[in-house]
Amino acid sequence: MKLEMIGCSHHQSSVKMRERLAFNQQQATEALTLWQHEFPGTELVLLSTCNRTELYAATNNQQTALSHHQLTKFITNFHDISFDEVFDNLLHQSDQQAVKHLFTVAASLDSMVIGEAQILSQVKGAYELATENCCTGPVTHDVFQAALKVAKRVAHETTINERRVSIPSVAVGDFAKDIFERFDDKKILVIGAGEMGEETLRYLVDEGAKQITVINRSQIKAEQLAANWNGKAKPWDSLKSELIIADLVVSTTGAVEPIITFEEFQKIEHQRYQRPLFILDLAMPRDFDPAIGNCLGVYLYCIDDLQQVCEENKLARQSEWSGAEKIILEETALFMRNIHHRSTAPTIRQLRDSCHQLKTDELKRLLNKLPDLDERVIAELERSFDRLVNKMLHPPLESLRDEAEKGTPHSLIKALKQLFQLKD
Amino acid sequence: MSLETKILYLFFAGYLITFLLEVVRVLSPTKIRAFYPVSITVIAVLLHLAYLVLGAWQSQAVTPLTNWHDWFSLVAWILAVSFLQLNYRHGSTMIGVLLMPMVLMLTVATWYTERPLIDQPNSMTFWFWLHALTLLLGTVIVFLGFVAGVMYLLQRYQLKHKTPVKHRFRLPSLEWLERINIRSVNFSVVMLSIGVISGFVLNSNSQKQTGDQPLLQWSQPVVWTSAILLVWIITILFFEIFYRPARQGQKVAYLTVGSFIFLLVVLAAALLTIDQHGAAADGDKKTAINSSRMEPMRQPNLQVSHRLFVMQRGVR
Repeated sequence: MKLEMIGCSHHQSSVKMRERLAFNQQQATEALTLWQHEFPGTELVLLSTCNRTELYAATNNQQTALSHHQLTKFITNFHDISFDEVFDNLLHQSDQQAVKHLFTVAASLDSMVIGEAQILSQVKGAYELATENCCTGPVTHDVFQAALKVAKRVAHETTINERRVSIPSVAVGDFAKDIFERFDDKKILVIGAGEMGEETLRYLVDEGAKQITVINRSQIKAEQLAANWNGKAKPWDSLKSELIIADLVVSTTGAVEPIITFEEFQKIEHQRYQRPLFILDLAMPRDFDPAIGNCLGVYLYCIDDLQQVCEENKLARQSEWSGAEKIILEETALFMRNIHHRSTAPTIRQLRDSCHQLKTDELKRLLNKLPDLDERVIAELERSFDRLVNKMLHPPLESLRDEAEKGTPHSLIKALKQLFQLKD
Repeated sequence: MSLETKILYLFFAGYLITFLLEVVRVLSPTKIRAFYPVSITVIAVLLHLAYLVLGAWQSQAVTPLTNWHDWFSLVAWILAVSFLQLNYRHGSTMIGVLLMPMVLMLTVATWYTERPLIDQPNSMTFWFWLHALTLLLGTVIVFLGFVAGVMYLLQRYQLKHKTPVKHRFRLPSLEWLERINIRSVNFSVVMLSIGVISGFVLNSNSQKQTGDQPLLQWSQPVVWTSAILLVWIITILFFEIFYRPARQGQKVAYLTVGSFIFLLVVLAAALLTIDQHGAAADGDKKTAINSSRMEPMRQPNLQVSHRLFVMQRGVR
């Protein structure tokens, strides 16, 4: 097996560089098609996300193995970028290191937000796209399927994925989902057009939210934001009437005083009949009077509440890191051991077949010379021949297996083939 | 020890182990996979089913479900199956920690009560079956509603007080719990009211038949606690019709908890009025009861059977 990886991520490359090397869906498909023409017989998987672009090229044939120069040239030619500009900014890994890197990426340990679960679906998506475009083969099938398995094992045996570390993801994942079972039938009210509000909307839309209303002092900004998310914009005057019917409120205005006081909320409270209301007050200073959180059915969270959770989750993830890394090291070693053992399998089979044939021929010749032997003696002779062959094969095969633990034993395999005259 | 008793002990042990595993899972989520308590529960449920079938087959003189023993056993079984179904959807939550004690409690009630030796005279009537089945369904739904109600109140507390995630119990969402609570209240109101009223009708009919005393004295605890339960049900209906907040949120959770408490009082009153050996002196009562539990299949004693019949009519 020969596996080469080149790529860039937020660890070593700037945003600008990553943007230049990124592939959208269409570009990825074109690149895979081009790869097949340029390098037939080799495998490729292309992973491109907002924080990384990585190419995994593989082959079982040492002769057709590609260097990282060739991989870099491929990507720079595709994007029409200078080779020299990019070469030193790329990360390069081979074989076992490449396998470990892929396992680490899939398990979200290399992500900007450690433990974020999105990367796994992105890795799976990249692998599936390469398969659809006939760019995968036995090596990439093995390594990517193993990567998915490792990611699931890390998710299952540690809690690294369960802790969210960004404010919007904590708000939606840790709190909104504890209040609401589904979001497609919920009325979402966004007050203000702040960045945090938009990011929270993204998480809500991912969860299925459809009924979005945007209210902002500037009607134009409200309409722009609403248009981005298939929502509707309402005038500022309708704030209180929208609060009566809303299920979830995201507030991110730049107001210096609360836009809804406790007294104002009390006037509309009875019209809600104590229906649950989740208010995410992401503004600083706060948009909602904190006393509103004491009302029945109201769950009011400000940015400090969520930030505290984020910090705790970051620490919790850090503490899970060593456990996750241990799993990755174990799985990498196991994967490589299996690959090396598999590389010796054809030779072992040939050797066994060859010796078995010799044994069969000699036994047949002997039995022809001794036709009067009874069944018991014949059976005993067969057993003795089998034992003899097994004992003779045991030392070379055991040596081969021991060498395979450390790596593919190319020289030993070659020597065995020469000594025993095994033909491919 | 009879085969039936051994099976009962086995499935009780299975439910107990499940409960303990669920407690460990709540305290340390990654230590035990959901597969283990679920597998043990499946085995226990199958054993329990075998117990029900075996009991019905062996007690050929007694129609199944016409007695407390079968009744408690079936309620426990349905709740155990409900645990499996709920665990499929909300396996990482603490449903098991709340539901399994109910199953255990009902299994103990099964062990405590005894299957009668002959059928009761009115057990084939329409009113008897309406009474038994509606109370059975109502009891199951009240128990499930109670679990949902407790979880709702706990989840609400955690969210209101902004309990740190690492210190929170994993629970289903408030919306899902509220939906279960609402359905539980609505369904149990219908079932329990039919169950209680049909019990009163049954007792009244028996009085007309005998022309003298009813099967169960109207002053018996189980009768007046059932009346209180009926008043509670009417109160729930009143709240739901005239007080809109009672139809959602924590108010519904309180109603489910209240229903559970009232129902528990009725069931406890019914259990305590069951006297397996009315003829025995008080001092011998425990010995007599214990020995009868260990040997459920004894020769029928008509006088004892009649007393069993009278006492078991205490379900209202």
